[in-house]
Amino acid sequence: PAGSDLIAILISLEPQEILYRLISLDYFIAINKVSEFACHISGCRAVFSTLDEYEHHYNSLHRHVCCSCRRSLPSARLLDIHIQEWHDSLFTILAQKQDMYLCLVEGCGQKFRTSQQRKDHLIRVHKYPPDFRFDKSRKEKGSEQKADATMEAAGDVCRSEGACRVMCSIEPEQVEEEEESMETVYSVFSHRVPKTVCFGHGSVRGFRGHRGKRK
Amino acid sequence: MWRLKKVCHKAGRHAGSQEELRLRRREKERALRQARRDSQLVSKRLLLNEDEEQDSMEITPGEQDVVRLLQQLQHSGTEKEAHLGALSKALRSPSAQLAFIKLENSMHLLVSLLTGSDARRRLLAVRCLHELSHSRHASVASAFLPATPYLLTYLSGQSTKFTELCLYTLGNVCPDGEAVKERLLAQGIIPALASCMQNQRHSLAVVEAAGFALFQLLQTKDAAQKVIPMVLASDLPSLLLSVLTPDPEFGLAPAAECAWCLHSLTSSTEDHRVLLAQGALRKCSSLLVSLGGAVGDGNTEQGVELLVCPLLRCVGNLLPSCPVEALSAQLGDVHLVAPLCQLVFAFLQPLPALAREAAWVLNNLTAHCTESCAALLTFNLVPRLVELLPFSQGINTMVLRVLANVAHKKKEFCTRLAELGLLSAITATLKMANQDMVTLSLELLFMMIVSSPQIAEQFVRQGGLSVLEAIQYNSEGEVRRRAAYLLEQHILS
Repeated sequence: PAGSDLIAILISLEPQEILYRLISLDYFIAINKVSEFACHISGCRAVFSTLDEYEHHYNSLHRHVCCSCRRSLPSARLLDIHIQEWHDSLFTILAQKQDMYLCLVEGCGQKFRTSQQRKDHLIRVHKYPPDFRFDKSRKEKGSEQKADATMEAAGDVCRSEGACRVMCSIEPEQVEEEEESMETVYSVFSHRVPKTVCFGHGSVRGFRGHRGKRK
Repeated sequence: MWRLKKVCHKAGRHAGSQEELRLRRREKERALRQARRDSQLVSKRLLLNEDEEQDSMEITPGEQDVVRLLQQLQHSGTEKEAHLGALSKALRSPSAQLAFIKLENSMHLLVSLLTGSDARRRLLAVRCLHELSHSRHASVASAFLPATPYLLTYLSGQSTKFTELCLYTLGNVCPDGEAVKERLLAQGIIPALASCMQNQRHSLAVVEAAGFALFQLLQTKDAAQKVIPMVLASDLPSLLLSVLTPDPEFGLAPAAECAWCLHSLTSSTEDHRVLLAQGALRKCSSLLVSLGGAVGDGNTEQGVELLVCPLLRCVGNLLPSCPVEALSAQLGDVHLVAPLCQLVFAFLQPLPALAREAAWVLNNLTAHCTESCAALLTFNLVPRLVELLPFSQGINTMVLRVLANVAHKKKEFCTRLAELGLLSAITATLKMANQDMVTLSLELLFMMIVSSPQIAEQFVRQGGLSVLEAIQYNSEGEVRRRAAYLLEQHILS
């Protein structure tokens, strides 16, 4: 809201990033008075009555979010793997010649030529279920991109996917469907470095840098 | 005969006590395993909600409620959360737990809620799983298998309360049979615990929960072969050591859990190189020093013995593995002798078993290291140790061993000990009914007498002859022979 002072409330403190959320002072006073307050990520309709609930909600759903497709993953590691395999054209090129698909179990370190081979390994060696919810293959991406265009809010979208679709900000642009061109190939690890402290747009990290307006 | 005893005295002393303790521990483990088979001693933890009290007297619902709640969950839309909350309360009762897993698709439903897009439902679902993890029935444990990959994946997440519940749940199911344990190991529980502890070490509640889960894993069958090598190869040892210092505000529970894990690691294997390389000896010792001081001053919080006990055992087990030359490098400027004595005296009345363990560590230390023997004399701790000789429950034999270690090191030490009145103390202990005490006293006496003729004379002056002669009526032949030998060869000659 124009005209009100902005204050920053500390959301989390961790070695890699210190995240602040800019909220208006009016809102801050308001949420301390009422018994319920809403998640401040645009597009998310969740409502809470305690700060603990908000912390859990935020850390579970908005923490490890892919900038490109808005998917929420349960951990930084799975997010890294997702970004590599879904949004990195260098990965796609290298994967044609060598084993690039990393086993999802931390500490295993084995790599595979295809995601199907990795899945077989997960089932055979690590006794994973065949329908492990955080290992969707990229083939299904096509149908879900259309869902992006309609800008559905978080609660309604995800049913059996597992990797939840949580919308992070209302953007006038849609998620592009074209393949990433060679000019936009970044080094694989560029997404680790946050370009700026993220104000008010959720903790998104992704292969692409700027998306939409930044205040 | 005597010479053999003397030569292997250094190795024999602490090996003797260690061997004894090892035997005793093995017998204890055998008994524990038997009891565990009767599911009496598997420990599980229940994490209560903040708004719940420890002993709520509400009537726990029965099996019918579970059936009804599951149906409601399967069909309802918006009230899932209320039903989940009711279900988690219902699952407190063992009969409801069994009934639940027998219902078709019950676990499948919980798992889908656990991995769904609603954070609140995830938390409620994991709470239901946590209640279920309390069951002692094997069938419930095997029903958990679909949930394990997700519980482990979530350990790398960032929601502290949720992670805590996942950890306690995993810790509760670890001891429930081989199938669950094998599954958890295959799915990478050890790297998951390591990265969880690393990423969330700022949250002491999560650290405590991770320590509990690891400890449970370390107690499983064949852990020495199947679990411990992987744990030692991971970052967990250094992580455990880094959280050992108790936080004054949070309390010592996280440090205690991690100390017990370290104890499991040191006591299950003879190879301590990894732990010594990580500085485990110095870390545990310096913590014992500060705890010893605090206990001696009387300002410690309740439950401090839960931290002192595993630390004592770690130090006691690590000391013999550390080569003598490296000992001063490992310990640095940590002076253990006085704090260990403080711990012995402080726990003597309230917890004699713990006092004996502190004396055992002192024994291992003095057997290994001449400086510590000198320190005992310098800090004038010997008279106080001598006061302990009448106490039973293994304390007096341990103290005698410590004094024997000191006497063994140098002739000058024997002279000092004699000046401090040890001979008259030995005269008393030679008359005790406890055969171990008599045997040890004879050995100590032998060392003292052999070191200098003045000591032999002093012994005679103090009426030691008649005491030795009286031992000719001892029931043990070996004891009689030794007393006779001492008398004939060294005193009367």
